[in-house]
Amino acid sequence: MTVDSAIRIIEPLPSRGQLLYDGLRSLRKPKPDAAPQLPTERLVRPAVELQAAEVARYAQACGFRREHGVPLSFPHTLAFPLHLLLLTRPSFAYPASGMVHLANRIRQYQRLEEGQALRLEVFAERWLAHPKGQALCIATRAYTNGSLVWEGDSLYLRRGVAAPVGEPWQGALSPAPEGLRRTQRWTLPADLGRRFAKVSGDFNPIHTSWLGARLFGFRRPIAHGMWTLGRALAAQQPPHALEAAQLECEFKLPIFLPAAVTLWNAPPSGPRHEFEVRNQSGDKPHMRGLFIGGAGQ
Amino acid sequence: MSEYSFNPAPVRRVAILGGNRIPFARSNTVYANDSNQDLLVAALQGLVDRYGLQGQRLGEFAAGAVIKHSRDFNLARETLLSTTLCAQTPAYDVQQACGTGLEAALLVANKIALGQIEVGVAGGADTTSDAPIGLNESLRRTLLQANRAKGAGNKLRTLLKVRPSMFFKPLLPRNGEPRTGLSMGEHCEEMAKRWQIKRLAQDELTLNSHRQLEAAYQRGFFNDLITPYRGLARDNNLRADASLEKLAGLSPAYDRENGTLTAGNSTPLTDGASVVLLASEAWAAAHNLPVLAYLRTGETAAVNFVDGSEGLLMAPAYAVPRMLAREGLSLQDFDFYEIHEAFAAQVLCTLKAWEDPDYCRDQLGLEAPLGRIERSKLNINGGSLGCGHPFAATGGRQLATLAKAIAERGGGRGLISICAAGGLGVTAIVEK
Repeated sequence: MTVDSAIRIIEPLPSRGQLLYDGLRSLRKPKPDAAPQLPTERLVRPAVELQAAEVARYAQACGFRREHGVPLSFPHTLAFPLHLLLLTRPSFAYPASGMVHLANRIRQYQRLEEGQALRLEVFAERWLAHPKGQALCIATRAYTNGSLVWEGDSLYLRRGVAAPVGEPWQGALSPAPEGLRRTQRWTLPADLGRRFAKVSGDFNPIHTSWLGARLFGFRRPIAHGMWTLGRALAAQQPPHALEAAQLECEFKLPIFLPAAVTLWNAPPSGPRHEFEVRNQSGDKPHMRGLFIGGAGQ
Repeated sequence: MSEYSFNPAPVRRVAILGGNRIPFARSNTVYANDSNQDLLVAALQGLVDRYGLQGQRLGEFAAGAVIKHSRDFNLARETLLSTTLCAQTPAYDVQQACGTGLEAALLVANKIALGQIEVGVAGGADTTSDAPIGLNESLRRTLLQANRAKGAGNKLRTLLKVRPSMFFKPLLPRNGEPRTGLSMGEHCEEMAKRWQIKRLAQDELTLNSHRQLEAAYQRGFFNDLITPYRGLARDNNLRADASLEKLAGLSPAYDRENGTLTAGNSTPLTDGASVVLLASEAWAAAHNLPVLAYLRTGETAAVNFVDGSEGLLMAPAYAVPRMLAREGLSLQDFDFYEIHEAFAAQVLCTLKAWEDPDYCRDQLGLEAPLGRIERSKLNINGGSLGCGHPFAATGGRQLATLAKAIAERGGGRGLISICAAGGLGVTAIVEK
């Protein structure tokens, strides 16, 4: 559903400090009395270059290799400040910092190249009713020369909303397949959150500081969902740049840092890669995902 | 312009004249203060002394180590210069994980077969006691940056980024696959589950390895294959008193709840070195050295273990049928099977795979399974579970052991198979 949306060009991007400040200030939002309004603005960065140095830093942080080209998940980091702007607007019903990243879907329609410029558009697409509260889908669309080359849908949840509006959320993925095998183990250092914040622009204190995490009710800082997504994706991707590809994932239990986690994969069948990120012993899920990387490229 | 041809020399048989190794020692025991080079020198000098090679210029010495310091960039050549071989003998390093020793032998053998050289030595050494410890990665990058910086001021400014904590977090060598972060034992545990290999079968194979090694020592089989070193005359991993009860008492090492791999039925980290003397028949005759056996051929394979579609240590299962097809042989045409026992489970997975019609058809592309081997022909003079496994030294040990076993029998044919990190497998056929 697209509402008539007012296009607002965001240029230049607000500073990191400003975004953080807005985020914290939005904590003081009053409880909405009526049904929340869907933000109608469409935030746009007209020409964002895929800069080689930024791509390389992001790739290294997530374990992508040079041969992978521009990581499928990278444009999300360029759009993320717009997500934050949308969520911190005074007109948005809930505080940004309390929104839980629930799921993410990414589709790429053609290969992304370093140096390529993207027009990024971010808008609130729809409300979804989640059993645990009010969910909101924020859509990101990336265009080059007028054609859609990449899109992402991020699902955020405000917990504890009694009568959420919108269609009921169905879940992004079919039930977990049988016979997943442990294929990798990763060791996540205590400062992973701070390191990934620098390459992703997501300085949410629940990831970057012990105190920040405590203030928001976590016993220790937690890994960025988008890091876990990137790391798992790097492990699925064949050793070449992707043309058309898609990724769906749902975030489950948070990963408290530092940690050792394991990656589990279904036996590969064609271009479909079903996977889960679990705890060290493999009995609790942190993330589930499905990557479909166009075969025969 | 002349028609191109690569060295039209006739292909010649490659003779295995002998081998030498030092006893293998469990990590951090008697060889704790020896480097790879020290160990390799001891093995090579022992070979030189045994075969009267001092002062001789050989065609080449090819050897390697898996866990290597950056200072060992020329390990084989530096080793050679520390022996009484003629210093005009060229040398080069080889590294193919646990396949290093056998791959080095294949390289030397191929040059002999083509007539490029007459005689050569192949070998390998490894120590996990003297392992390299790297600088903390941030510290290393900062130091390199400072080195590149122009002017004392810039250099100092860069060095100010050094933090004390960097000194307390060194980069330690890992016994894990770089692409999966899982240890080899964890990978093999996964294979054991996939192939449903029982704990008892693994322990039985382990016990056999110790017993057969012990028996080989008892009858003096290793007398002309081993040079004692640092007061050690036998492999110190060998447990003459090993029993199924003792093995059964060990707890699983890689999966505490559902695992079957233990410290007993897995090879321990080991220090050691081995070398093999290879030559043309003409060279052997000219030097009055009897031929133990001939190195007929070799085959190397690799599998995709990264996405979990195949087990890390299953590559020999692919290499052997390809080699057999090329040579017109069946798996049963052998008198000896010298299969590297990285883990008892690895050997059992491979044997089971060769008997499995579905696997042989779907994975190996064979019309019929390779079939069973006679277990009484397997590692008859002990295997890696008994003597230990100093990575690059295992190939040389197996080659010399097998050649001697064939010579003792008065002829026959043997198969060597080694699985290696990175989903690699190196195999060879030896016969007389």
